Amino acid sequence: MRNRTKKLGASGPSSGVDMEVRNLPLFVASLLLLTAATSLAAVLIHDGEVGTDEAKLGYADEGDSVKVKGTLTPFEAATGSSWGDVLAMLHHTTYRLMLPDLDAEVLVTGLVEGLDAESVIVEGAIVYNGPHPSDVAAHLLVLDANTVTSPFFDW
Amino acid sequence: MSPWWLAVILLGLAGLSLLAWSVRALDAPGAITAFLLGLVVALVADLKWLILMTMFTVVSVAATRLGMARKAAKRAAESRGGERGVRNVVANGLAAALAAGAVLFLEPEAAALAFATAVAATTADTLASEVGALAPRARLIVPPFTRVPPGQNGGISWLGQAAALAGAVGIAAAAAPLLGLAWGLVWIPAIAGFAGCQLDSVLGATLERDPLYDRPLTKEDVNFLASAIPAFIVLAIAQIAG
Repeated sequence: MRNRTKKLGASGPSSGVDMEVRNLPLFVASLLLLTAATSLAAVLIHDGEVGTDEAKLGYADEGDSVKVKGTLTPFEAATGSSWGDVLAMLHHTTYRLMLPDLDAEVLVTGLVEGLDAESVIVEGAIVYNGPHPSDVAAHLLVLDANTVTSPFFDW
Repeated sequence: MSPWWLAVILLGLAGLSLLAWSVRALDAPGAITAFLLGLVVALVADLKWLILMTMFTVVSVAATRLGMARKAAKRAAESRGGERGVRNVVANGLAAALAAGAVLFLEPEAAALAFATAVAATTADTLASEVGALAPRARLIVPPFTRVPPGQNGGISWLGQAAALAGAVGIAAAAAPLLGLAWGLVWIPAIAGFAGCQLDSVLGATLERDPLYDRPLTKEDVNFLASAIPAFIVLAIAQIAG
């Protein structure tokens, strides 16, 4: 095997960091593997496949910042006095966010129009976490969105 | 766990193990052992815990190679040019891996504190040894505190102690964002890790085998105990305190 000896550090060989590469192609391969891992991790985090907060929605407090991934569907503003407090929190455009495995309805407000049926990653603050105005047995969360991004891939 | 996230872990660990082997930080069995230990930590705890462990590895490799020629001249250099094997990997990584495993059974914060303590202790000990070997003089940590050559078992120096403290504090500080520890608890792995380094020196001066003394403990035994004992104490206290 060929050995390449490379010394690092500015103070001369006696006090520098000595590094000897045992096998240059495998050294390069190791760097490529690390690059692949880092790149894949970055894409997974961007696309909301990891690092999102669905698990903590059930016990999040109003004011908590969360990041969730789901599919947006249209929300028709409900009528009735029981909706008064919640409607006051909603901006002009509000969607229902479909989240698997969550036993609650999630509304996302403050987004732009035209995002129906889009898979998105939303970051924002919980502004309501309490009983559903139309069904006291159900639960409602309202998320005031700060940012919304689309995933690179359909995982 | 998402299969894609598992792919990230496997690619990253393969890259790190291959990198360690190719720069002669680990021999082949040592690289495989490091891969397996890292896999255990990433699967039972979290990838961020593995990142903290990797920080120790990077610091250890750099410190080992710091001034190799000077250390060799002083005959204080790590044997085999700093290349480590299975025994060394297990000695330095087992306590942390066991602490990571504790997250399955005990309070997650207690396990995180113990894990950070174990990594801080091994980092402090490695820096104390490798940087301390470059010090102009050293003294025994136990009575009669006589002068000894830098790098001798049980010897300490101001340079080595400063490096050890910096290492323990650095790992503890990194543990806050990586392991989700409250900043108010960071002092625990910092102090306990530094104390583990002192324990290593005491055990090295009294119970570690060397060419002059036939004692019961090997270097790897001492390394393991110096990280495992403080980690276990932190785990027990944190678990009881809730």
